[in-house]
Amino acid sequence: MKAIMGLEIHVHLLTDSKFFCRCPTDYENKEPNENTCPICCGFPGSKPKANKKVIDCTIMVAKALNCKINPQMFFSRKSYFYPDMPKNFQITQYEIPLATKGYLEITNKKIGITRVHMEEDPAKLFHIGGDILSAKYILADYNRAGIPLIEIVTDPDFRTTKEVREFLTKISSILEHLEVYDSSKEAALRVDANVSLEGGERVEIKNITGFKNVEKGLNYEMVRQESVRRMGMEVQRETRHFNAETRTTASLRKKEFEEDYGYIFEPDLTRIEISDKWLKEIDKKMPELPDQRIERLVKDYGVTRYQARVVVYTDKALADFFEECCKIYKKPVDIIKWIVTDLLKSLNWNKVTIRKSKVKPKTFIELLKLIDTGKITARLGKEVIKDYVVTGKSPKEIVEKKGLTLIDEDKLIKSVKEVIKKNSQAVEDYKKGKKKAMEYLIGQVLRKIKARADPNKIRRLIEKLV
Amino acid sequence: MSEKSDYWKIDEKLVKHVAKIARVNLTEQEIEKFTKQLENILQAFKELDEVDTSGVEPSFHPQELKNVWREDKVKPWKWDPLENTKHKEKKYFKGPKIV
Ligand SMILES: [Zn+2]
Repeated sequence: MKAIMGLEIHVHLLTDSKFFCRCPTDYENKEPNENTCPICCGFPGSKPKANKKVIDCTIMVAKALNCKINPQMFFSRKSYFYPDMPKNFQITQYEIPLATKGYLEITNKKIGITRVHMEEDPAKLFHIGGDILSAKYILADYNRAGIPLIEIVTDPDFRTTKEVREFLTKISSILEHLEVYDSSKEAALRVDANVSLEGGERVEIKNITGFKNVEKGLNYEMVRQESVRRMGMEVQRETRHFNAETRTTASLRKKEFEEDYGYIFEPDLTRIEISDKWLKEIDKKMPELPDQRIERLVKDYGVTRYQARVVVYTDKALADFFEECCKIYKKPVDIIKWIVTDLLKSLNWNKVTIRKSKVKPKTFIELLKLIDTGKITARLGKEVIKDYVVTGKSPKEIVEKKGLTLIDEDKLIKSVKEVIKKNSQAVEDYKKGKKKAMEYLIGQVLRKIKARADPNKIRRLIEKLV
Repeated sequence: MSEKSDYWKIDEKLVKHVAKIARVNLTEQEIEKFTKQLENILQAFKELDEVDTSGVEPSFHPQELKNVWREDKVKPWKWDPLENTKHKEKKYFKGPKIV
């Protein structure tokens, strides 16, 4: 059955101060409610004043998403009564958002962008004595309240979760390249996902953190809606909550009640006029975007488009790392090969991003040079990289300490002779022209000497000695 | 800024709905009283709406202001945010669960 999906993406913008007050946005390692003031706590008489950087950043995002930017816009109050917003309204944009009608291309498809607007984040709530549905009461931390968010709403253009994943990966990379978003921060990107089966009612899954969870939530919801239909019932229009632990969704509330937000214009903030001059200034500040970067990497470094996409989309910092490495060692094709295979594998295995890891261009290049100059084999390089990612120690030191340098010629010849002697059957097979027998013999030698010689050299020795 | 032509019409059902959204408990007498009061208020707006405003620019502020903002500078506020509440636990505000 055909599914129809749309996304609402909320992203914390990287600013120093909050949207409407001068409290810091950095809430990691802070006491609860430390970053607060009468404005973000909604005290009567307090007056908000917009942070210009938020508007600048949002214009950049709108441009990157090919949107039409409104020359004039307003802020609105979205009224609702919930302890995460002490004012009982959230300052957002409703009637006239900053931008509309954009698009982003994914493989063989354009995803429409309905709108891009700015709003303030509500407080973080902790549900005590149960989950969101069964809690006895809540604890509120207003450090997060008032942090600027950008909301990106897509048209319902997705048909598969694979498309959703590609889109989110691309959006995240664009935001990173614009330097408006920190992908390493918990909850820096949250998604509300809409999903319906063709002809059925739409269900909204609220507040999903993490790309993988978006896919899981949508997959679960599609299966649930299908089984509701199979049982001969109708899917109800409602809002559901995604539980990351059980990977299921549960009903929060029926839809009709929610839509009474009673939007009014925010009279405490002025209207914003975006002049052509302002837009031209932003144009000058626009950095290289992921698609442009991929093309440049292919053109300038001779890497494959696949490799370029991997480094750019995995993490902007990984693409930066690649280019840093190329500055100090002019072998981009070798460098990227090691990055997209063994380095990435090791980083993922250790669940660490390049930025937070101890991997540095200087030491990484040291490792490649050890291989290129024949000090160690590529096969040993793969082993050293694992230690290196964990410890960050100089690869030279790792190699020396572990005694991984190549063994000398005499010892190697001796080992090859021993292997030939012990494996007479394989030697016979090789002489009869079986290629696999040679691979086997090389493997035996490598095992014997703990991979401390170049396989090609071993091959030549065997050919000579049999 | 409703486009609806009959927005001044109000009944007890609507008052109950608004009270529910605003999380206010009203007695039957209060509902009756507020229905009448709100009807009067909306009637006043209806009269205002009858004034011909074609060609008049909408205004949102008594003074014409635009593009008022500040630069992205931090200045922490020195206070104890929990000072005036008894609804607290550790350093958090404590509140009811609402779904
Ligand atoms: Zn504040």
